[in-house]
Amino acid sequence: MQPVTVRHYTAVCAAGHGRSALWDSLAAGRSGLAPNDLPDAPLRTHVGRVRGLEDSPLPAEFAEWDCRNNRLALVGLQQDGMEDAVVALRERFGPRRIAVVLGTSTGSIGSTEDAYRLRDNDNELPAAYRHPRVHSPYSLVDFVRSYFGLEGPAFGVSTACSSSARVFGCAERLLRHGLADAVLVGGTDTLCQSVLHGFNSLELMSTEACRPFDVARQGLSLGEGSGFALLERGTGGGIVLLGYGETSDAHHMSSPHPEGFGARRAMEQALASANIDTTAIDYVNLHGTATRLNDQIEGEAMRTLFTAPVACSSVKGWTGHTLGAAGIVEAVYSLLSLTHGFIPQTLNCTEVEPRFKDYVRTSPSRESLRTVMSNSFGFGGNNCSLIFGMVP
Amino acid sequence: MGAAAVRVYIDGIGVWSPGLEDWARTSAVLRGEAPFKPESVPLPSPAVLSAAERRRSPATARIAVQVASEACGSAGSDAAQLACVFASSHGDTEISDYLCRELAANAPLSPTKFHNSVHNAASGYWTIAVGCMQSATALSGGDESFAYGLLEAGLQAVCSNRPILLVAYDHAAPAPLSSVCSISRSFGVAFVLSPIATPRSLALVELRDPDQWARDAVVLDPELLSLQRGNPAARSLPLLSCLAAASTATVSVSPLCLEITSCR
Repeated sequence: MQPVTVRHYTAVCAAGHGRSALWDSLAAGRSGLAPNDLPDAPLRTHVGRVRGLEDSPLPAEFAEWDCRNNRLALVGLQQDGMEDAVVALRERFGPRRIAVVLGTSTGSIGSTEDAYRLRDNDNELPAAYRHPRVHSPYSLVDFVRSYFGLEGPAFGVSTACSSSARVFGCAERLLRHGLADAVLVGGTDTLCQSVLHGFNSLELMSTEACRPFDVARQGLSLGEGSGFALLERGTGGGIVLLGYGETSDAHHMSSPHPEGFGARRAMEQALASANIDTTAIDYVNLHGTATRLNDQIEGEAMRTLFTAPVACSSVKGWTGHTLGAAGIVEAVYSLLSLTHGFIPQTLNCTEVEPRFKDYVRTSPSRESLRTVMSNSFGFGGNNCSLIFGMVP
Repeated sequence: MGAAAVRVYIDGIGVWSPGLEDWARTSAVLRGEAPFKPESVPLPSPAVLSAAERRRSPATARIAVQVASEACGSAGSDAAQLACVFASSHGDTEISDYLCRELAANAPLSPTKFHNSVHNAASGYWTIAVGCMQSATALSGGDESFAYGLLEAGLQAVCSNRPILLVAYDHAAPAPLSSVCSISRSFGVAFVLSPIATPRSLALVELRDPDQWARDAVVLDPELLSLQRGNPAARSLPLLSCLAAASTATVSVSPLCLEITSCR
């Protein structure tokens, strides 16, 4: 594929609001995870919670979309000059030429959960919660396109934990075929009862802060996050999307392929679409959820594909697993690595799985990076790998 | 949208809805040769799902897998080799209802029902059932989910120069979700789309900007119109109607305009 320019980008999660704060916490090794203190979820675990969302409703004119997920999306849009950049592109190309493709998995189900708790004796949802524009997987895209008054193609991708990585592929195709001149990509996922209790039912959650690739890892820590990037055709220098890969495991709804075959094929496809081989990759931001199985299969996929070891780490020790937002949040971390020349450690990993010790970094380093890969894998066996680079 | 058109050929069709059990029945109804009687029927039991998966899978997955199987069968496609795009406005509202009810009652969640709650559950069950390791996309475009699914699938087909499977579905929402979600009917449709004409091609479909092209109105009978209004995937009915009649026409499927040229 022809490279696509990443014009602007930003993310927010428990580790910080915006690129500068995320970079500070990354360089300082300061985690955003804390013991779970969400209301109504007395589970002993750590979460990566973004503070203050409860007290910051959407502006009155967007009240019909008001929910935690869209509040966090707005926080993301109002950082790092993203809002101004979208408005400038809308003025330049016209609202019909800007597409919106966003990923979410949990979406605004948290509001539906709240509404069910407040049902009356006739099983009716309370009037204050009867907003059709909230109780829909399309709510995030619908809100963002309405917020900016954009009229181009606008749809949501919801492939569990690869959702907001997959949006880069959709955007590249829209740009390649001339259906848009710019695409706002990204995604948002927020903590809610169903994911906390759901992952608990699958016995995939850690009681302590997650420790990706550690021999003693117990499971994942959940988090929430939001991120956005503006993509345009061609390159004028700077950060570019070089390639992407999209595959299925065809194995199991909630367990990855035991040999990591789908994960490996996603990385192979991404390399092929970027027209490079493994030796061109300087750093891989792993999916690295800290579940027994994910880290095992991802590590094996790395070993078999990258026969010469490559520097790898997972940033989930900072962010928690932000699920549908993990793709964009970790794409932004990959771009921070690229621009700062920094390979982060795998936070909380003190004794790395012996088989992966040549790959997984447990201490940070400053290195000149030109090309980085970011992996995201989701339920349903849905895999995505992205490759970003810096062009002069 | 821009002036660029995405061109794909329809090589296979699958349909399921109460009263429209497959494409043969649906096309007869759309041609006015058979009556439409949308009576309540059991969910489909697609043969491609193992007995265990059929038991575990949510209603939307059964509808989606049923129509996907029919479309691949009629196109003569090897389902394992087809990338796929699954489009649904609301995903599985029965599963959402289950999760919210159990949480409200402080009851434990079933791990199977939890993993069935992801929007890509139907595509997951499909790829597992047929051994497909290609790209599987699950998207939502609200009421316009079918058109966005067609756009994304069409783009993937022309960008990869390979055929692709498109599946669109939604299932009638239970109370109390039905008060905030307008999906009152169950309907699924699937197409195998090819970037080039093949001996199986039924029609060429060009996806165009709605503002730039005249439209032919497809007149649906009141029962079919009510189905179309009650399910976002049933917004495919004007396209299906043209395919049933082997007609050449330009119809609106918001936000797209579809220029349909029969290959028959």
